[in-house]
Amino acid sequence: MGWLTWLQELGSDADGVAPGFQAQSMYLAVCVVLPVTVGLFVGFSLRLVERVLGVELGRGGH
Amino acid sequence: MPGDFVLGIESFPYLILFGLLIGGLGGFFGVGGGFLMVPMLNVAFGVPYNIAVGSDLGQMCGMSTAATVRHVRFGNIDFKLGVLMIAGTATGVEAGARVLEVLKHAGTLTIAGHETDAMSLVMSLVYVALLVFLGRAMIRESLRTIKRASGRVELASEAPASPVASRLRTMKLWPMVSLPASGIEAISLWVILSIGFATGFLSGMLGVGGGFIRMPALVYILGCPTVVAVGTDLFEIMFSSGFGVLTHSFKGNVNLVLVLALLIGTTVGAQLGASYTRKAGGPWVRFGFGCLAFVGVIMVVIKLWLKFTQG
Repeated sequence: MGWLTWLQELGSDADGVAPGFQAQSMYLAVCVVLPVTVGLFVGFSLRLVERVLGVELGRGGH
Repeated sequence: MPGDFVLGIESFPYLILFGLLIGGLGGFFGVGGGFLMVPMLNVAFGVPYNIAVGSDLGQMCGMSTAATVRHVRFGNIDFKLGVLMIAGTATGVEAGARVLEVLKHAGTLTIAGHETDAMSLVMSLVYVALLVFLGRAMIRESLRTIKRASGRVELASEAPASPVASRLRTMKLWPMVSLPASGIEAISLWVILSIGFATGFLSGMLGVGGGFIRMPALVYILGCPTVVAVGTDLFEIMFSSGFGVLTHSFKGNVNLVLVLALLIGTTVGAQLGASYTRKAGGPWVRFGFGCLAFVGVIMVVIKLWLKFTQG
């Protein structure tokens, strides 16, 4: 679970209530890149599954 | 204090299960589930509202990116409308996030001798109001549909626009823009920006997608065809949640372990939930959704009451 620890440590300074809080650039980047990357991966994977199997999967919410 | 919150890695599997449950419910009811995710994270895991909102926006960003990738091939997105609305949405998200920041730093309130933190109190009450509004609207609409269907009365495909919606649609306030993809000849840019601002504000402050406001606004105020409204709504949620997670990360409100767990859970859950929707009738699904919102209200009220009485 090394990557989980890494994610946790990355956000360990992210205490917005602490005085003089400044978010680290790596933390900011991962906050946006992580969901977008997972979203793109899932979206294209589901499209591939639909194309290969010739079925339309449920859309879900968003 | 909200800033003292630390989420242990040992909670990771439970958070995935939680994401699976909320994602499954969202997929089943055809909604994002943000309005349930944030208060339930607070109730079940004790996640402060600011962290729940920021992290839920991260989860929503991933889910809406995946949904837009799948939806874009249907060609139902009005990109011009989406891009124009982004200006209003971004401003709204920032305003909502700043209101949450003010609450985060507001400290504690003492009411009738009991001390509680201001953010929890205000956000819980706002969520109770939101869930009651959504649940009531959904139950009323579904019961009406069930009653009409049993009476064999043919339903109109779209309800007529209200006088206010018609007035906004025909308002001649410069600059006017045309939206050919939606079949709209001319509409004031300010109407588009206002819709974006209102939904963006809800997103930034409450961590919800805002589709329950944006969808009817696109259909009844702007006059978009429903299929275009669905596609454009997804596109808009992708940007509002993306901008939301960015601005909340600047404020230290995003927990990356929580985002990852929710992403894994909701991705799988949404697919499972959506596959079961096909086996259930539409109005009954919406009725169940309405009831679920009231279960959420009860849980938030109990948590608030316990916090208030036990400190």
